[in-house]
Amino acid sequence: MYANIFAIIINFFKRRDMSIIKTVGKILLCLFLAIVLASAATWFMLRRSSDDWIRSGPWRTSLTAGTQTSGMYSRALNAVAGIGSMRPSEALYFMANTDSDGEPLSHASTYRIEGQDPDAQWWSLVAYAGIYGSLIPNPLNIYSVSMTTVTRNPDGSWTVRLSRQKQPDNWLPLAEQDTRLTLIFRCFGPSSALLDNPAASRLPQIILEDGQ
Amino acid sequence: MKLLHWILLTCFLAIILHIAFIWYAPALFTRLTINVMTSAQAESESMPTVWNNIFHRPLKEATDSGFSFYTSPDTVYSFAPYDVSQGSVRIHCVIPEGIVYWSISFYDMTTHNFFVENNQTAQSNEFDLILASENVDCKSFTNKQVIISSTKKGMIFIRAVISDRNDKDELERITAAQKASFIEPVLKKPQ
Repeated sequence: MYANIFAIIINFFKRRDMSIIKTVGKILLCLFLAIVLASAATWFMLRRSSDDWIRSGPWRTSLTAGTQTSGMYSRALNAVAGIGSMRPSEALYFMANTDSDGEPLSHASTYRIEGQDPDAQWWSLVAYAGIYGSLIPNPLNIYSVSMTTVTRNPDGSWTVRLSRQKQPDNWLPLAEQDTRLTLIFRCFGPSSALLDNPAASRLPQIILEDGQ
Repeated sequence: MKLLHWILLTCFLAIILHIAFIWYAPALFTRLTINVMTSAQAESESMPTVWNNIFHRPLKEATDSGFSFYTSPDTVYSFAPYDVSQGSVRIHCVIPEGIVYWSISFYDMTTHNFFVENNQTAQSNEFDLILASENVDCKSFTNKQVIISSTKKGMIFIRAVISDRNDKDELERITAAQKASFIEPVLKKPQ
């Protein structure tokens, strides 16, 4: 029985049906190339769409996320990178992957973040590891520093340290593995002044203290 | 078929695939979010449908299994996928006492965050919202705030921020208030 099936296949290839196989092969190749091209175009356009984000030092935020006015690409970018984020009038999400000198953030380094309260109802600063933004495991379960937990300097400003080593105050632990490090500075209930011009607001400085 | 035809066919297919992804990405990712946020509880409680049900999430820990995508560690989330195709739904909200930030936000299938109410804009600590589709006559909902969704389905996030994760009393108070919130279909009056 198996010999018969084998013979049928051999005959099929020997006959003129080879042209059909070639055509099917070409269509599959076309489809594969189209998927590759479409993926590249999608990646390029989404990256270009993120260029429209507001930037201030190492921080970037979108003023179109969650709004009806955002275009097709902005909506797709919001769906891919920030689904569930609230519209800017309710919350501003500032993200950073570099320090204030433009160098990529690293879990192996120690950073000093100097800031003051933004003009918002509440804020928090969180460090995430990896491309999917996981919280960083640590024995004390410290994941954030916020408006209600930060220890302030006498002038009301604050300093947060990002480090693998435990710090006395305002410590955000970093991961043991050196994966992608992302900081998110959430400002819930931003004032109209902050909303009108986030780039002009005094966002925290991220200063490399130790490491590379 | 000449080589040029094959190249044109490839380009045409690429454009169609690109536009299809960009166009459907919001709905696709909204569906994925609904699935991720509801599947475990829906399965364990053998729920017949996830639509118009509320799912309360505990405070996020780094060691938690499951999907994590830049989740806020200071927020107790409640999540409700809504479906107004069969009629309007009522959302009963309870704002925890003395909370630093609380909000309820509605998203349609295009990820448009079309309505938000927070603890500073809410008239009281306990209130109802009616969510309806575009073609519904809202006159019958007297004394209720009616919100119109441009799509039949979508999702609702209720966020309650805890001022200090280590404050167990505060967490208990917030969790109790979140669990007192619910979503239910608005029953039509008999003719």
